[in-house]
Amino acid sequence: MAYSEIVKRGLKQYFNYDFFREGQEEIILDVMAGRDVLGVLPTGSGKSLCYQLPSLLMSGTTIVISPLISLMIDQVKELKARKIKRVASLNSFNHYEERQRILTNLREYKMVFISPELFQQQEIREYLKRIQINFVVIDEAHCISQWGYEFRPDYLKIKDVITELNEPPILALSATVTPTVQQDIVKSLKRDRIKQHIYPMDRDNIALTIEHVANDVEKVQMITYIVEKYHVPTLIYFSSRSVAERVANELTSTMTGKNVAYYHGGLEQQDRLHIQQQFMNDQLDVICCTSAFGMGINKQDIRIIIHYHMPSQIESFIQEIGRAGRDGKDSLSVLLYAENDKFLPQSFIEQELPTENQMFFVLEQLMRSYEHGQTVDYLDSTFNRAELNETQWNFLHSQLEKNGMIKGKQINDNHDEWERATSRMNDFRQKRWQVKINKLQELLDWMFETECLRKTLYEKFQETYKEPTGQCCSNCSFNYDAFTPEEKVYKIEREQTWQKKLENIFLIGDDI
Amino acid sequence: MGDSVLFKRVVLHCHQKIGADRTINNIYHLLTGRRSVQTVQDSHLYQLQTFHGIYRHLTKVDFHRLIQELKRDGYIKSVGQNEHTFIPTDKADLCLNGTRTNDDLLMTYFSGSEYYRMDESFYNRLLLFIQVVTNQKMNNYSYIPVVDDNETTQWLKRNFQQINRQLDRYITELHKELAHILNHLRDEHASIFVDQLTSYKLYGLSVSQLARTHHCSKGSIRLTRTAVIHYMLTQVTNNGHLFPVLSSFVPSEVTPSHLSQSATKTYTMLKKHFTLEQIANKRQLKLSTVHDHLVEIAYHVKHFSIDRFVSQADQKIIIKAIEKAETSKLKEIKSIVGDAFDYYQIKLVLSKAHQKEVGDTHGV
Repeated sequence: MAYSEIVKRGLKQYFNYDFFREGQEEIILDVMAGRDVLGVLPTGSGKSLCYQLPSLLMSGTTIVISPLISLMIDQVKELKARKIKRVASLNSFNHYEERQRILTNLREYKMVFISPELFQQQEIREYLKRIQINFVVIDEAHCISQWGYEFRPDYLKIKDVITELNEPPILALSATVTPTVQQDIVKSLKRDRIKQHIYPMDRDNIALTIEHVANDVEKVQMITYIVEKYHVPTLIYFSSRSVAERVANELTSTMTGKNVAYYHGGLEQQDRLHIQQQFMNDQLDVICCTSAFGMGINKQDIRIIIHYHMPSQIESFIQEIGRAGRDGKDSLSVLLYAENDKFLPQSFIEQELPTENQMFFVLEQLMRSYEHGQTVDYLDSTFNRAELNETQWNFLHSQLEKNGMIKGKQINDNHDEWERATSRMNDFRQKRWQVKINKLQELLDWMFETECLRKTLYEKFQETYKEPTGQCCSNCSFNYDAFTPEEKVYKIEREQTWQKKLENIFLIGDDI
Repeated sequence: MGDSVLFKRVVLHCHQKIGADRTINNIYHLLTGRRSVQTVQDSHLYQLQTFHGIYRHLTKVDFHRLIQELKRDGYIKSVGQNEHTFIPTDKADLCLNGTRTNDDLLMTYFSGSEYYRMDESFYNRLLLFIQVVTNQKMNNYSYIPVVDDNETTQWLKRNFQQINRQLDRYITELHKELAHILNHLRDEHASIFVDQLTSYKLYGLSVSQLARTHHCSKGSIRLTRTAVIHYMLTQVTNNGHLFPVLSSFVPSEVTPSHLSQSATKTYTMLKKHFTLEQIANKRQLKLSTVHDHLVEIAYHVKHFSIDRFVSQADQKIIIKAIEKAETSKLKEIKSIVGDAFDYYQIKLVLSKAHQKEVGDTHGV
């Protein structure tokens, strides 16, 4: 049987779909043929199927490197819900016994999700060497690029481990990347014959609107207007957990008959699961959330995405609005902007990189430690004193390693090197800072664009874009009254007695 | 008091029993169910066994936030030098003994030490079971389980392989059993409980959602849930024949009541007539640790004789000292009996004196 026949059957058998979406089949066939592949597919187009299906059809184990633990856990749960049980995730949340159980039975699994940090761990590498790996997936592959908006130092070391594992084929996946970052990914992976499948990321069924308002009060007014007008699943993005909670509470108290919840990374595991699943099952109309929400969510009919706060670059914005209208029906993105908003992402950028002063402080400590014959262990405690957060410390630590100033626990004794290394580090820090500021500026520029928003949003990524299926954008005279999505009927009746609710739960009485 | 302030009342209640004898950290240990000898012993001393471990996931931060609130609102005030020792004020008295509220009822449902950890397994089993039977009834096999810990999943697999053949029976019977029990509760409490259940395409509300809809703290919601489960467990264990399905969810406890693992080992060795020193040697433990185990065993194992460790004559001396001291504070008792006895021996006698008290009241 030809591969194309096998994958079609597999698609039906495991996922119960009749057709592939754009790009999936091409990527899957190349993976099945053992080729290295770079796949760039827009958010919401079913990227994960590109490795899940071949993994199920091939012998051996697939290793999936994924940067976000919550996403990993969600994916494992979703696969298990599809009766695909031979999957596991290795991450820092594993209990000791759980991890040992997974590691000793590694070859029993079809897919093993793993964080980039653990992928590099000596002990885990030893286990990985003993099994047959059919291919390695690098999810969110743009994290490997220093020109990308989300560079992760751990990603740079992935390739070395893959080499140690005897060079299995690689499938690198990403959603929103510029051509520069694409080249950077290919270069870092050092696979000359990698097949590139790049698909346009514009979404023709999402209307783009930007609302310039005076302040937060007007933002809430605008949201109230939208949520009252349309009875459809709606996501509202915030960059702050506390504001998300506050607005959710405000909406709950002012709008009766709407079920509003909030979701962010600070929630307990149990809360997250419940909110996600309630939204999936149409028990909630609106979720006020941070970027932590959405990545694992496979809801087809999210109709409106509102940004209460802008993200810090176009790539995140495209990914976040991409969660709307996966079913292809007309959907809407509303970006709310008040004058002071531009300072918000700026402060986030500041939190991601150490300042020059902090950097020099740590270097000075390092030098002193060396003179006292101490190791890096001691240094770990100084990052508190330099008031570095974890992201900033990780950045510094990886830079120190990369420039040969520390190796494992040892501090390098070549003092002459230090000066050069210091200036290299500082240059790099400034470069990253500049990349991020430029990214922010790009987004701000776009928001003040007077030309068609669709054309200008995607032009950094691709040359053309598809004609919109519905209305285009607020610069092409978008009209709220002309946006008429199909209304959704929600099942929750709050005022029921508990007796009635209990009957519903046990499927007794009239149809739900 | 329309709002549920259960969490506050529970803490105040414990506080009132303990007074200034102990620091607030002891209340924290009591509620989170710490298995140290001191905590277990305290729960008996102050007759707070029913509160032992009723809020296992309470964080230190949340607890201290509540203490600050109580202090600010004048329910407790600090005494002496120790910043962790407080006593309840008259306002607390009034709050606890004044108007009866729904919360008072809930507080009588707690059976902390009896259902230690069992409550959690029972609740998880119930949650998962309802989700599984209702989904299977609707022929839906693709959903994300609300409970996915290994213990519960394995339990379901082991016990309900043939679940499909009796779906209708399970659904009708379990509904009947739950409705029967919940009918005895206040509507408000039944409602909080029901809102948490997950069924076919209907996910229960999370703790924070419930806190929002019922205008109370997450702590009060958690404690309400625990109280209802304890009530349920009491009904189910006392009248098993009325609740065949729910009975099958009750975890069977194997260890004698609720001994810690380490104490269980010591207990097994004691039964094989090892001496305390031999046990300490064999298990490479400090002798004082074995003493702690011994006290734990004395508290938990009914009819455990302490005569091997404190002669009956000595027991009498210690009992007299306890009566004279009019307190359970070890230091004061020790100062009366002097160096002739070890602390652990006093603790052993205290444990038995206490069991007798409990036995007596039960006899009435």
